[in-house]
Amino acid sequence: MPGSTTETYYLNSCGFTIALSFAPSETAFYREKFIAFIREVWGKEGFITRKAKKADFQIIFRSSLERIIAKEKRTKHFFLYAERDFPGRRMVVPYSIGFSVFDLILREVHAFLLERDGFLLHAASVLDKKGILSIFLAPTGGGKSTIAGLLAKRGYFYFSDDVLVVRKAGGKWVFYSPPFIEKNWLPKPKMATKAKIFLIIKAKKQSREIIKDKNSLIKKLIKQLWLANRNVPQGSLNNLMSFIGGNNFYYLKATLNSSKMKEVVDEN
Amino acid sequence: MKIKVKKGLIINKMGDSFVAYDNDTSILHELNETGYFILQDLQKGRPRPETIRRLVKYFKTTQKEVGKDYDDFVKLLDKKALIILQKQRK
Repeated sequence: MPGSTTETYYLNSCGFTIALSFAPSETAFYREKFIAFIREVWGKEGFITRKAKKADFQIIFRSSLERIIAKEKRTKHFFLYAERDFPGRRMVVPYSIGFSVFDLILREVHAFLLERDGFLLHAASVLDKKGILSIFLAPTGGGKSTIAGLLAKRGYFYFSDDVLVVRKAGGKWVFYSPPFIEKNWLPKPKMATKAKIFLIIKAKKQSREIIKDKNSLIKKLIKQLWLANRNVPQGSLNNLMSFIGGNNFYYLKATLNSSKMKEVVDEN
Repeated sequence: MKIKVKKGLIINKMGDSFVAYDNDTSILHELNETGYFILQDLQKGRPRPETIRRLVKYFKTTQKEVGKDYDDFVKLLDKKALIILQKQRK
């Protein structure tokens, strides 16, 4: 009978394997909708396999109502959407969570897995035809998406809008397009190994300048880390500082002139 | 006196830069190499005499000089509430 056994899908993302296990459920409607959602968003782009393999993390879907944990604080009730066991590398979630909450859970899991050799960075980025990634950093509202959007109209491929996955592998920094749903885009598996990193400053005239004082970058980039909670784990700080030390960063004075911005970004 | 480093304080180095990040306040403190060395030892629970010996060896200097640096630095850490000074029972 369909749905009477646990079905497991393996999400291959940024070099990690995350097992998504769907336990049997009496409320088959939610279960089937969730499996269909996973297949649609991640299956079509090749992120998903059914072949059993060793997983770095497991997310278990269950329907039991007792798994929805309520927390009371004065007059408010909070229903937490997951039972987290990071040391055990697993999370249990009810089928009743929304799709956007599942996307958030995936970000949390990635942020945890990346403590070893990378981090999630709030960044917009575009890839040129030579495979070089231009990464744009700025506080919220600082123009990251705008600049990336201008360059996308000039032939660049839109790589990330809000979050970029950064990992160190074999002594090199590797950038992955996010396996998360961003605005209206579904995830696509893309990777880059060469990048130019820009801190955006809105200006009247476009230009760029290499940043010599790398110490000043540490404070700025800590604020650009995507963290599951507000604490910066030791691993993430180690990785971030190694990243700063190993790469060149530029101030990018940015305007809305897309052809001039392309010239400045493309400079050698 | 026992010195305990504040929970949530993480220290790191990048080339010649040394920092201590306080997760509670989200403040990044810049350190010099001596400060980084001492803070690392405090995090590991090393007592003052042992850290002084290590500093003398590493920086090739005198006990008097590093002793003063150590005490001044500990006072600064206390002032910035990055450590807790626990009086030991006799």
